[in-house]
Amino acid sequence: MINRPKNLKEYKGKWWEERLGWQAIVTFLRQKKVPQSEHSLWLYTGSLILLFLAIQVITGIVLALYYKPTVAEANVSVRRIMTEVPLGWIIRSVHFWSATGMIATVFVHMISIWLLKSYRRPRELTWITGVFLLIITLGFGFTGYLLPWDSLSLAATKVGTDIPRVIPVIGSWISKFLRGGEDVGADTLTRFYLFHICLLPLMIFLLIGVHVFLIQKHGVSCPLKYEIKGIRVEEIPFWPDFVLRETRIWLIALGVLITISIFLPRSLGPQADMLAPTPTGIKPEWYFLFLFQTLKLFPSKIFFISGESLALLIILLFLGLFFFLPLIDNRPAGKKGKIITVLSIVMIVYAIAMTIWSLVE
Amino acid sequence: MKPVTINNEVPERMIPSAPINKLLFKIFDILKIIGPIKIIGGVILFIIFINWSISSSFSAISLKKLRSNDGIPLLPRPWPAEQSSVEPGNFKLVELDRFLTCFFKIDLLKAKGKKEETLDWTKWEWARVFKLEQEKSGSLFFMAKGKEKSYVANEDSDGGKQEAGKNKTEGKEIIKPEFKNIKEKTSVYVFLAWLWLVIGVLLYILNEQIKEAERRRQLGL
Repeated sequence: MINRPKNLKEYKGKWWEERLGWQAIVTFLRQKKVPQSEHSLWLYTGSLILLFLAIQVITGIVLALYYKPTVAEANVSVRRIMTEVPLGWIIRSVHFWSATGMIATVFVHMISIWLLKSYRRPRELTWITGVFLLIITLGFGFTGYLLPWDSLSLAATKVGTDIPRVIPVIGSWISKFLRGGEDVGADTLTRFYLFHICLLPLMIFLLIGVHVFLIQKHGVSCPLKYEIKGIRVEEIPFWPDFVLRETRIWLIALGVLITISIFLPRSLGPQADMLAPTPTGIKPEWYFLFLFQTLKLFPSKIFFISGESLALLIILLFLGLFFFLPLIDNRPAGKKGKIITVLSIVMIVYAIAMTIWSLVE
Repeated sequence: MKPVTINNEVPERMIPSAPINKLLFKIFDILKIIGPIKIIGGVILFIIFINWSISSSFSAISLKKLRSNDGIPLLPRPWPAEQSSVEPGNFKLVELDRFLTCFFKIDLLKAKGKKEETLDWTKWEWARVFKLEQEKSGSLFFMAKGKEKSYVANEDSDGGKQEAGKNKTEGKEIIKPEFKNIKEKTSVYVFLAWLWLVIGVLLYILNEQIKEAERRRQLGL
């Protein structure tokens, strides 16, 4: 006997169920468990990053409707967005602040994973994809910074794209590849725009897919102290308990983001002049300040090696250690790693101190 | 703008046929036949060569730096041979090699009230060279910015006033976002108040739902 739907609502429900099978997804989400402890706040940073990314995509599309990626028109078009397009300055400001929020949340997310040692077996690949996602996020910031084509962004990009030159053998090729020539110019702007709206989004969505799949496969890790003591941590269903809690954070973040964007809007500097001298006191965005300050600490020459080269090699070495952290600290989950914890805290304090120093300088 | 006449006297170090260059090329040739030593020797010579270029008082137009943004090396020579009168901001012809001619467009910034009748290369500071366009004829247009050294000094002493004034005249001032009118301002503030009200209400509803979900979970439903 065929079960006929009793009303229109049931008919619609059955229609969608027949085509999408969404009930299976809901059942799966209800059965999926998430550990609930005093460290659960860190878990919400992952989804917060996705919220900021979604806002970036939406505001980015709106901005792309008006933005023109040419040397002659880039700054003018951003100027037009800010002065002529209705609420254009708010949209640009939301784009900027959500980028800042996203990068800050990515840092917090990585630090939480780092300190809770959630990168250990079997989550090594989750960590590695996470490091790639961090680099891509920073790439978004770096490429997006040039797009308004103002004097400060041009100067900062010149400095930023000049740094790889000190890397032996491939350094100058990297710099040339990024710039599209010997110097920052029209080709650089076109390339950065392409990276910003096409290549990096493609990479980030692909990697997020892999990252989420790995999280799904291995589940959310339990805090270390529970694993050491062998205490069973309380678990809550992903749907609706965890999602409802996440939504609260999303709402607050959205409200704060829009408020900040209105009260602290992003201004636009004078149009970049490729022939003008470099303005004094240029600094990169806050997330690169600790690297910038580190580079400044090194003298021009240390014995026979250039100070800049040495500084960059040390930074690359640390990045390599950071990348392969799960292979260096490869104890089974649940074992303490005091040295790694101390080193992690030292590095985090160093990065914060350097950033503050650079800001107040 | 007052016409400027090009002085054909070019510093020796800028010309590829300068004795130091000839000597360097000869040394390179000799090193080629010595075998493995050539690499070490080449590196040492290269460093000396680069250092010599950088330490030049004419560093901006030294052999190392004078390249287009495409990386094409430029070997500047005044052309044509006879003195010619050009407008500041117009162009100067510079020979790249026997096949390719570069049109070197320059933007001259002169000290206030100072008349420069002849363009003496040594008295000018040159920024990087940028490629403008490539024509079918095989000629390349390049652009560079030349600043008279006394102008640079004045610019520094003025504390960037000239630059600020220039920006103002060219409409390149900093844009600080602001509300266009009172209507926009009111609507944005009303929207903000509405947003926080909605967030407040939704947070209340969510808290109630979380409590309900918690209760159901504890009951094992």
